[in-house]
Amino acid sequence: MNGPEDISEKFISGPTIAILRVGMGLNFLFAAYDKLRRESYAESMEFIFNVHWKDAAYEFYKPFIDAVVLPHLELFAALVTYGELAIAVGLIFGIFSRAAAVAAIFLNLNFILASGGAILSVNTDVGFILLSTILFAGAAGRSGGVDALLVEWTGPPQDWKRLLY
Amino acid sequence: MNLSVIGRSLGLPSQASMRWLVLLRITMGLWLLYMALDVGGRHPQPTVIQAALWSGSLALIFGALTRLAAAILFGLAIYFIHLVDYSYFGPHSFAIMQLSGLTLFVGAAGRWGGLDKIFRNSAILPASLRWLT
Repeated sequence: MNGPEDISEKFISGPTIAILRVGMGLNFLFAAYDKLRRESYAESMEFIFNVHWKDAAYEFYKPFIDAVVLPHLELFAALVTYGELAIAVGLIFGIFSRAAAVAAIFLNLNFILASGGAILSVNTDVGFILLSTILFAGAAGRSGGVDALLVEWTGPPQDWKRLLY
Repeated sequence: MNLSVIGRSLGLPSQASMRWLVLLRITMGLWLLYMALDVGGRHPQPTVIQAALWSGSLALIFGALTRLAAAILFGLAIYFIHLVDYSYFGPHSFAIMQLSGLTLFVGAAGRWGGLDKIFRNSAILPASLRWLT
């Protein structure tokens, strides 16, 4: 696989992954805002689990929902809402964007397991996992994000820090 | 804050990042292929839409005229958003299609591991149409 063959094409690459990063970040921001403006997102979650996703979860995941999530709905509603908000901030500004991408993958994987969604489909959560994987692999925050400054100041991340930016 | 640092970061070539556009391109091609099969079966659409789904899918998978295919991807998302009987995909799916279309268009993703690399370096395509690659 060859890279860009002339100097003009080099200018394509920087903004490209940044567009994807910011666009994804805005998606998470809108999702978090939608939850924050509700009176109680925990009640909405209860409704989703009992009506939309009733008995739809993967078999191995059901005990986790019944024993851990449903008895602590307030906690999990807050985790999802502020988790999405943190992911949004990380992706929009490119701060620890790899960590934000991992969090996005984890969150959407849980949505798939809870909703019983098919892994190989054009499901929304599958799409978000795919895009988040690309953001992680491409270290998206280093293109036009704060992570680029971090790399500039501290050098390329080593060892476990590569999971952050 | 050092402005040159910001400038460098904005223009970061990051070819490593670009290689991952290949994954995005092929996956969105498969995404359209899934929709083409699904639309053809359960939700029949006008011929032009089915043609757009199939041509967009193949173009993205093989990286041929990728910018045109990315525009088709973006346009199909807008078309399907307004289709009530196809809403089970959910609005976020179409946001993903639009975002991917925009990214693939700006990134000219077919030039990395796609047929567009050949198109750009040969006389197959008139110079006036090279922006489609």
